[in-house]
Amino acid sequence: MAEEESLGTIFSKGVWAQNPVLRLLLGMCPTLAVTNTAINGVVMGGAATFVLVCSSVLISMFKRFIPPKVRIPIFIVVVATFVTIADYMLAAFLPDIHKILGIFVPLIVVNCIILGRIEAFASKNGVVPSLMDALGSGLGFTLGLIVLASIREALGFGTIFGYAVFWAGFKPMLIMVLPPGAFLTLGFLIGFMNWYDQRQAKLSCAECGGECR
Amino acid sequence: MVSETVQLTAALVVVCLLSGMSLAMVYDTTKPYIEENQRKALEIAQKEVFPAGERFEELADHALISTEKEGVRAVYAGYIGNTVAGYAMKVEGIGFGGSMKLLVGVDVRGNKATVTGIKVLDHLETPGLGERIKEDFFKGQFAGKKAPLRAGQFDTITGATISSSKVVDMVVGSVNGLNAQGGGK
Repeated sequence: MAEEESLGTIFSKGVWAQNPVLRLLLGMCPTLAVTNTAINGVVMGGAATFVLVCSSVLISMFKRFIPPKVRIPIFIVVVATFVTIADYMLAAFLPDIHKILGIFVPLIVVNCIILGRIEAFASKNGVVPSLMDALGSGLGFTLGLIVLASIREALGFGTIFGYAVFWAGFKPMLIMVLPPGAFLTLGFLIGFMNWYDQRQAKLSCAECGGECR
Repeated sequence: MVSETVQLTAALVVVCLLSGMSLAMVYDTTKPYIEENQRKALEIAQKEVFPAGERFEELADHALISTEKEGVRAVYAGYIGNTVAGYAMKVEGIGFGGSMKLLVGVDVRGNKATVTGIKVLDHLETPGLGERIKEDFFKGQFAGKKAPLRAGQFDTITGATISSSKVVDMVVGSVNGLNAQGGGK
Protein backbone atom coordinates (compact mmCIF):
# COMPACT_ATOMS: atom_id res chain seq x y z
CA MET A 1 0.00 0.00 0.00
CA ALA A 2 2.77 2.40 0.91
CA GLU A 3 4.59 1.96 -2.42
CA GLU A 4 1.93 3.77 -4.40
CA GLU A 5 1.71 6.77 -2.10
CA SER A 6 3.94 9.78 -2.68
CA LEU A 7 5.73 11.31 0.29
CA GLY A 8 3.45 14.33 0.02
CA THR A 9 0.35 12.16 0.35
CA ILE A 10 1.78 10.36 3.36
CA PHE A 11 2.44 13.72 4.96
CA SER A 12 -0.88 15.39 4.17
CA LYS A 13 -2.90 12.34 5.19
CA GLY A 14 -1.87 12.88 8.80
CA VAL A 15 -2.95 16.51 8.67
CA TRP A 16 -6.45 16.15 7.17
CA ALA A 17 -7.78 12.78 5.99
CA GLN A 18 -6.38 10.91 8.99
CA ASN A 19 -6.00 13.75 11.45
CA PRO A 20 -5.25 12.00 14.76
CA VAL A 21 -7.47 14.27 16.85
CA LEU A 22 -10.41 15.07 14.59
CA ARG A 23 -10.57 11.93 12.42
CA LEU A 24 -9.06 8.99 14.27
CA LEU A 25 -9.95 10.29 17.75
CA LEU A 26 -6.62 9.07 19.09
CA GLY A 27 -4.77 10.60 22.01
CA MET A 28 -7.96 11.98 23.53
CA CYS A 29 -6.54 12.26 27.05
CA PRO A 30 -4.11 15.14 26.36
CA THR A 31 -6.49 16.51 23.72
CA LEU A 32 -9.27 17.07 26.19
CA ALA A 33 -7.15 17.89 29.20
CA VAL A 34 -4.60 20.50 28.15
CA THR A 35 -6.41 22.42 25.42
CA ASN A 36 -7.74 25.30 27.52
CA THR A 37 -5.18 27.79 26.26
CA ALA A 38 -3.64 27.97 22.79
CA ILE A 39 -0.07 28.01 24.05
CA ASN A 40 -0.61 24.73 25.92
CA GLY A 41 -1.81 23.20 22.65
CA VAL A 42 1.32 24.36 20.84
CA VAL A 43 3.71 22.97 23.45
CA MET A 44 1.80 19.71 23.95
CA GLY A 45 1.68 19.21 20.17
CA GLY A 46 5.34 20.11 19.82
CA ALA A 47 6.42 17.66 22.54
CA ALA A 48 4.31 14.84 21.08
CA THR A 49 5.61 15.57 17.56
CA PHE A 50 9.21 15.50 18.81
CA VAL A 51 8.65 12.10 20.41
CA LEU A 52 6.74 10.77 17.40
CA VAL A 53 9.37 11.86 14.86
CA CYS A 54 12.35 10.62 16.87
CA SER A 55 10.79 7.24 17.68
CA SER A 56 9.45 6.69 14.15
CA VAL A 57 12.82 7.38 12.55
CA LEU A 58 14.70 5.24 15.05
CA ILE A 59 12.28 2.32 14.79
CA SER A 60 12.19 2.40 10.99
CA MET A 61 15.99 2.46 10.94
CA PHE A 62 16.38 -0.60 13.15
CA LYS A 63 13.20 -2.48 12.23
CA ARG A 64 15.19 -5.42 10.87
CA PHE A 65 16.79 -6.05 14.25
CA ILE A 66 13.61 -5.91 16.28
CA PRO A 67 12.26 -9.42 16.91
CA PRO A 68 8.50 -9.31 16.14
CA LYS A 69 7.60 -11.11 19.37
CA VAL A 70 9.00 -8.39 21.61
CA ARG A 71 8.33 -5.43 19.33
CA ILE A 72 5.74 -3.77 21.58
CA PRO A 73 7.97 -3.67 24.71
CA ILE A 74 10.80 -2.32 22.56
CA PHE A 75 8.56 0.38 21.04
CA ILE A 76 7.39 1.41 24.51
CA VAL A 77 10.96 1.64 25.85
CA VAL A 78 12.03 3.75 22.86
CA VAL A 79 9.00 6.05 23.18
CA ALA A 80 9.42 6.34 26.97
CA THR A 81 13.07 7.31 26.50
CA PHE A 82 12.21 10.15 24.14
CA VAL A 83 9.34 11.29 26.36
CA THR A 84 11.65 11.48 29.36
CA ILE A 85 14.16 13.44 27.29
CA ALA A 86 11.39 15.87 26.24
CA ASP A 87 10.24 16.14 29.87
CA TYR A 88 13.73 17.04 31.14
CA MET A 89 14.22 19.52 28.30
CA LEU A 90 10.93 21.29 29.08
CA ALA A 91 11.74 21.36 32.81
CA ALA A 92 15.15 22.84 32.06
CA PHE A 93 14.29 25.40 29.42
CA LEU A 94 10.53 26.11 29.63
CA PRO A 95 9.82 25.65 33.37
CA ASP A 96 6.55 27.63 33.38
CA ILE A 97 4.98 25.58 30.63
CA HIS A 98 6.38 22.39 32.11
CA LYS A 99 4.52 23.19 35.31
CA ILE A 100 1.23 23.72 33.45
CA LEU A 101 1.46 20.56 31.34
CA GLY A 102 2.37 18.59 34.44
CA ILE A 103 1.42 14.95 34.20
CA PHE A 104 0.48 15.14 30.51
CA VAL A 105 4.04 15.12 29.23
CA PRO A 106 4.93 11.78 30.87
CA LEU A 107 1.58 10.49 29.60
CA ILE A 108 2.77 10.92 26.00
CA VAL A 109 4.33 7.47 26.55
CA VAL A 110 0.92 5.85 26.35
CA ASN A 111 -0.46 8.23 23.74
CA CYS A 112 -2.00 5.90 21.17
CA ILE A 113 -1.05 8.15 18.24
CA ILE A 114 2.61 7.43 18.78
CA LEU A 115 2.40 3.69 19.33
CA GLY A 116 -0.20 3.55 16.55
CA ARG A 117 1.99 5.24 13.94
CA ILE A 118 5.01 3.14 14.92
CA GLU A 119 3.11 -0.15 14.78
CA ALA A 120 1.11 0.71 11.65
CA PHE A 121 3.73 2.59 9.69
CA ALA A 122 7.30 3.04 10.92
CA SER A 123 7.86 -0.65 11.68
CA LYS A 124 6.90 -1.55 8.08
CA ASN A 125 8.33 1.31 6.02
CA GLY A 126 11.62 3.03 5.23
CA VAL A 127 13.16 5.91 7.11
CA VAL A 128 12.06 8.74 4.79
CA PRO A 129 8.38 7.71 4.47
CA SER A 130 8.30 7.12 8.25
CA LEU A 131 9.69 10.57 8.83
CA MET A 132 7.01 12.11 6.59
CA ASP A 133 4.29 10.06 8.26
CA ALA A 134 5.46 11.14 11.72
CA LEU A 135 5.73 14.80 10.69
CA GLY A 136 2.27 14.70 9.12
CA SER A 137 0.58 13.03 12.08
CA GLY A 138 2.48 15.26 14.50
CA LEU A 139 1.45 18.38 12.63
CA GLY A 140 -2.13 17.13 12.41
CA PHE A 141 -2.16 16.50 16.16
CA THR A 142 -0.64 19.90 16.90
CA LEU A 143 -3.03 21.76 14.57
CA GLY A 144 -5.99 19.87 16.02
CA LEU A 145 -4.94 20.90 19.54
CA ILE A 146 -4.31 24.51 18.53
CA VAL A 147 -7.71 24.91 16.83
CA LEU A 148 -9.50 23.28 19.77
CA ALA A 149 -7.51 25.28 22.31
CA SER A 150 -7.96 28.61 20.50
CA ILE A 151 -11.74 28.21 20.41
CA ARG A 152 -11.85 27.24 24.08
CA GLU A 153 -9.49 30.01 25.15
CA ALA A 154 -11.40 32.61 23.12
CA LEU A 155 -14.78 31.66 24.53
CA GLY A 156 -13.60 30.77 28.03
CA PHE A 157 -11.08 33.54 28.75
CA GLY A 158 -11.77 35.98 25.90
CA THR A 159 -8.19 35.70 24.63
CA ILE A 160 -6.10 33.77 22.10
CA PHE A 161 -2.42 33.26 22.98
CA GLY A 162 -3.09 35.71 25.81
CA TYR A 163 -4.30 38.52 23.52
CA ALA A 164 -7.85 39.81 23.96
CA VAL A 165 -9.99 38.97 20.94
CA PHE A 166 -13.38 40.24 22.05
CA TRP A 167 -14.86 43.62 22.81
CA ALA A 168 -14.35 45.03 26.29
CA GLY A 169 -17.05 43.76 28.62
CA PHE A 170 -17.27 40.36 26.92
CA LYS A 171 -18.34 37.88 29.55
CA PRO A 172 -16.25 34.70 29.16
CA MET A 173 -18.00 31.34 29.34
CA LEU A 174 -16.22 29.53 32.11
CA ILE A 175 -17.50 26.12 31.02
CA MET A 176 -15.39 26.30 27.86
CA VAL A 177 -12.10 26.04 29.78
CA LEU A 178 -13.45 23.35 32.08
CA PRO A 179 -13.57 19.71 30.90
CA PRO A 180 -17.11 19.87 29.41
CA GLY A 181 -15.95 22.64 27.08
CA ALA A 182 -13.41 20.26 25.56
CA PHE A 183 -16.09 17.71 24.69
CA LEU A 184 -18.47 20.35 23.28
CA THR A 185 -15.80 21.99 21.13
CA LEU A 186 -14.43 18.66 19.89
CA GLY A 187 -17.94 17.51 18.93
CA PHE A 188 -18.65 20.67 16.94
CA LEU A 189 -15.24 20.51 15.22
CA ILE A 190 -15.72 16.89 14.15
CA GLY A 191 -19.22 17.76 12.96
CA PHE A 192 -17.86 20.65 10.93
CA MET A 193 -15.17 18.48 9.34
CA ASN A 194 -17.71 15.83 8.33
CA TRP A 195 -20.09 18.44 6.94
CA TYR A 196 -17.27 20.00 4.92
CA ASP A 197 -16.17 16.65 3.48
CA GLN A 198 -19.73 15.71 2.50
CA ARG A 199 -20.18 19.05 0.80
CA GLN A 200 -16.92 18.58 -1.13
CA ALA A 201 -18.06 15.12 -2.19
CA LYS A 202 -21.34 16.53 -3.49
CA LEU A 203 -19.61 19.30 -5.41
CA SER A 204 -17.09 16.92 -6.97
CA CYS A 205 -19.85 14.83 -8.59
CA ALA A 206 -22.62 17.06 -9.86
CA GLU A 207 -24.75 14.31 -11.43
CA CYS A 208 -25.45 12.16 -8.42
CA GLY A 209 -24.71 14.57 -5.60
CA GLY A 210 -22.04 12.34 -4.08
CA GLU A 211 -24.17 9.17 -4.10
CA CYS A 212 -21.82 7.37 -6.49
CA ARG A 213 -18.89 7.43 -4.14
CA MET B 1 21.90 -22.00 16.75
CA VAL B 2 20.97 -19.59 19.52
CA SER B 3 17.67 -20.31 21.18
CA GLU B 4 14.82 -17.87 20.66
CA THR B 5 14.58 -17.01 24.33
CA VAL B 6 18.19 -15.83 24.35
CA GLN B 7 17.62 -13.75 21.19
CA LEU B 8 14.54 -12.02 22.56
CA THR B 9 16.20 -11.37 25.90
CA ALA B 10 19.31 -10.00 24.23
CA ALA B 11 17.25 -7.62 22.09
CA LEU B 12 15.42 -6.23 25.12
CA VAL B 13 18.60 -5.94 27.17
CA VAL B 14 20.36 -4.00 24.40
CA VAL B 15 17.43 -1.61 23.94
CA CYS B 16 17.10 -0.98 27.69
CA LEU B 17 20.84 -0.44 28.09
CA LEU B 18 20.92 2.12 25.28
CA SER B 19 17.84 3.81 26.69
CA GLY B 20 19.32 3.98 30.17
CA MET B 21 22.60 5.37 28.90
CA SER B 22 20.99 8.12 26.84
CA LEU B 23 18.69 9.09 29.72
CA ALA B 24 21.64 9.31 32.10
CA MET B 25 23.32 11.69 29.67
CA VAL B 26 20.26 13.92 29.25
CA TYR B 27 19.65 13.91 33.01
CA ASP B 28 23.19 15.06 33.70
CA THR B 29 23.01 17.79 31.06
CA THR B 30 19.69 19.24 32.15
CA LYS B 31 20.11 18.82 35.92
CA PRO B 32 21.91 22.11 36.61
CA TYR B 33 19.29 24.03 34.60
CA ILE B 34 16.39 22.35 36.38
CA GLU B 35 17.88 22.98 39.83
CA GLU B 36 18.60 26.58 38.88
CA ASN B 37 14.95 27.02 37.79
CA GLN B 38 13.63 25.58 41.04
CA ARG B 39 15.98 27.73 43.09
CA LYS B 40 14.96 30.86 41.18
CA ALA B 41 11.25 30.09 41.51
CA LEU B 42 11.61 29.62 45.28
CA GLU B 43 13.67 32.77 45.61
CA ILE B 44 11.07 34.84 43.74
CA ALA B 45 8.32 33.39 45.93
CA GLN B 46 10.25 34.09 49.16
CA LYS B 47 10.92 37.65 48.06
CA GLU B 48 7.25 38.07 47.19
CA VAL B 49 5.90 37.00 50.59
CA PHE B 50 8.62 38.70 52.65
CA PRO B 51 9.98 41.58 50.57
CA ALA B 52 12.19 42.90 53.38
CA GLY B 53 14.29 39.74 53.44
CA GLU B 54 17.70 40.20 51.84
CA ARG B 55 18.54 36.52 51.75
CA PHE B 56 16.80 33.35 52.82
CA GLU B 57 18.09 30.20 54.44
CA GLU B 58 16.21 26.98 55.00
CA LEU B 59 16.07 25.93 58.66
CA ALA B 60 17.46 22.46 59.22
CA ASP B 61 14.74 21.74 61.79
CA HIS B 62 11.65 23.89 61.40
CA ALA B 63 10.07 22.40 64.54
CA LEU B 64 12.28 24.83 66.51
CA ILE B 65 10.24 27.72 65.17
CA SER B 66 6.87 26.22 64.42
CA THR B 67 4.70 24.20 66.76
CA GLU B 68 2.29 23.51 63.92
CA LYS B 69 3.26 20.04 62.75
CA GLU B 70 0.47 19.15 60.36
CA GLY B 71 0.86 21.60 57.54
CA VAL B 72 4.23 23.30 57.78
CA ARG B 73 6.69 21.57 55.44
CA ALA B 74 9.67 23.89 55.52
CA VAL B 75 10.64 27.23 57.03
CA TYR B 76 13.03 29.68 55.39
CA ALA B 77 14.52 32.34 57.62
CA GLY B 78 14.67 35.76 55.97
CA TYR B 79 17.69 37.82 57.00
CA ILE B 80 18.32 41.54 57.06
CA GLY B 81 22.05 41.79 57.53
CA ASN B 82 22.84 39.07 60.04
CA THR B 83 19.59 39.05 62.00
CA VAL B 84 16.50 37.03 61.26
CA ALA B 85 13.75 39.52 60.41
CA GLY B 86 11.05 37.11 59.30
CA TYR B 87 10.16 33.74 57.92
CA ALA B 88 8.70 32.26 54.78
CA MET B 89 6.79 29.10 55.68
CA LYS B 90 5.88 26.45 53.14
CA VAL B 91 2.48 25.08 54.18
CA GLU B 92 0.65 22.18 52.62
CA GLY B 93 -3.03 21.28 52.97
CA ILE B 94 -5.88 19.60 51.14
CA GLY B 95 -8.22 21.93 49.27
CA PHE B 96 -11.22 21.17 47.10
CA GLY B 97 -9.32 19.61 44.21
CA GLY B 98 -6.28 18.17 45.97
CA SER B 99 -3.10 19.27 47.63
CA MET B 100 -2.43 23.01 47.90
CA LYS B 101 0.95 24.51 48.74
CA LEU B 102 1.29 28.02 50.12
CA LEU B 103 4.21 30.18 51.08
CA VAL B 104 3.34 32.38 54.07
CA GLY B 105 5.59 35.31 54.93
CA VAL B 106 5.78 36.77 58.45
CA ASP B 107 7.73 39.67 59.87
CA VAL B 108 8.96 39.00 63.41
CA ARG B 109 10.75 42.28 64.11
CA GLY B 110 7.87 43.77 66.09
CA ASN B 111 6.56 42.35 69.36
CA LYS B 112 3.95 40.36 67.45
CA ALA B 113 4.46 38.36 64.28
CA THR B 114 2.92 40.20 61.31
CA VAL B 115 1.85 38.56 58.06
CA THR B 116 3.68 40.16 55.14
CA GLY B 117 2.09 38.22 52.29
CA ILE B 118 1.10 34.83 50.99
CA LYS B 119 1.66 33.09 47.69
CA VAL B 120 -0.03 30.02 46.24
CA LEU B 121 2.81 27.78 45.02
CA ASP B 122 0.74 24.87 43.78
CA HIS B 123 -2.92 23.98 43.68
CA LEU B 124 -5.46 21.82 41.90
CA GLU B 125 -8.52 24.00 42.48
CA THR B 126 -11.22 24.58 39.86
CA PRO B 127 -10.23 27.19 37.25
CA GLY B 128 -12.27 30.36 37.61
CA LEU B 129 -13.70 29.41 41.01
CA GLY B 130 -11.27 27.89 43.50
CA GLU B 131 -8.41 29.26 41.45
CA ARG B 132 -9.41 32.76 42.58
CA ILE B 133 -7.42 32.10 45.79
CA LYS B 134 -4.50 33.31 43.66
CA GLU B 135 -6.10 36.71 43.06
CA ASP B 136 -4.96 39.79 44.93
CA PHE B 137 -8.35 40.73 46.41
CA PHE B 138 -8.22 37.50 48.41
CA LYS B 139 -4.48 37.10 49.00
CA GLY B 140 -4.04 40.75 49.86
CA GLN B 141 -6.24 40.66 52.97
CA PHE B 142 -3.63 38.75 54.98
CA ALA B 143 -0.81 41.28 54.76
CA GLY B 144 -0.43 43.48 57.84
CA LYS B 145 -2.49 41.27 60.17
CA LYS B 146 -0.84 40.53 63.50
CA ALA B 147 -0.70 37.23 65.37
CA PRO B 148 -2.73 35.69 66.90
CA LEU B 149 -4.99 35.46 63.84
CA ARG B 150 -8.61 34.33 63.86
CA ALA B 151 -10.22 32.68 60.85
CA GLY B 152 -13.21 35.05 61.22
CA GLN B 153 -10.99 38.03 60.39
CA PHE B 154 -10.79 37.01 56.76
CA ASP B 155 -13.28 36.87 53.90
CA THR B 156 -13.77 33.73 51.89
CA ILE B 157 -14.75 33.60 48.21
CA THR B 158 -18.32 33.04 47.05
CA GLY B 159 -18.48 29.82 45.05
CA ALA B 160 -15.12 28.72 46.39
CA THR B 161 -15.86 28.33 50.08
CA ILE B 162 -13.86 25.14 50.59
CA SER B 163 -10.76 26.34 48.72
CA SER B 164 -10.68 29.78 50.28
CA SER B 165 -11.50 28.79 53.85
CA LYS B 166 -8.80 26.12 53.69
CA VAL B 167 -6.29 28.78 52.66
CA VAL B 168 -7.44 30.93 55.60
CA ASP B 169 -7.05 27.95 57.95
CA MET B 170 -3.58 27.21 56.61
CA VAL B 171 -2.42 30.80 57.07
CA VAL B 172 -4.00 31.13 60.53
CA GLY B 173 -2.62 27.76 61.64
CA SER B 174 0.92 28.37 60.47
CA VAL B 175 1.13 31.93 61.83
CA ASN B 176 -0.41 31.08 65.19
CA GLY B 177 1.83 28.04 65.37
CA LEU B 178 4.95 30.16 65.58
CA ASN B 179 6.49 29.70 69.04
CA ALA B 180 8.23 32.30 71.18
CA GLN B 181 11.46 32.04 69.23
CA GLY B 182 9.56 32.51 65.99
CA GLY B 183 7.95 35.70 67.24
CA GLY B 184 4.58 34.25 68.18
CA LYS B 185 4.29 35.62 71.69
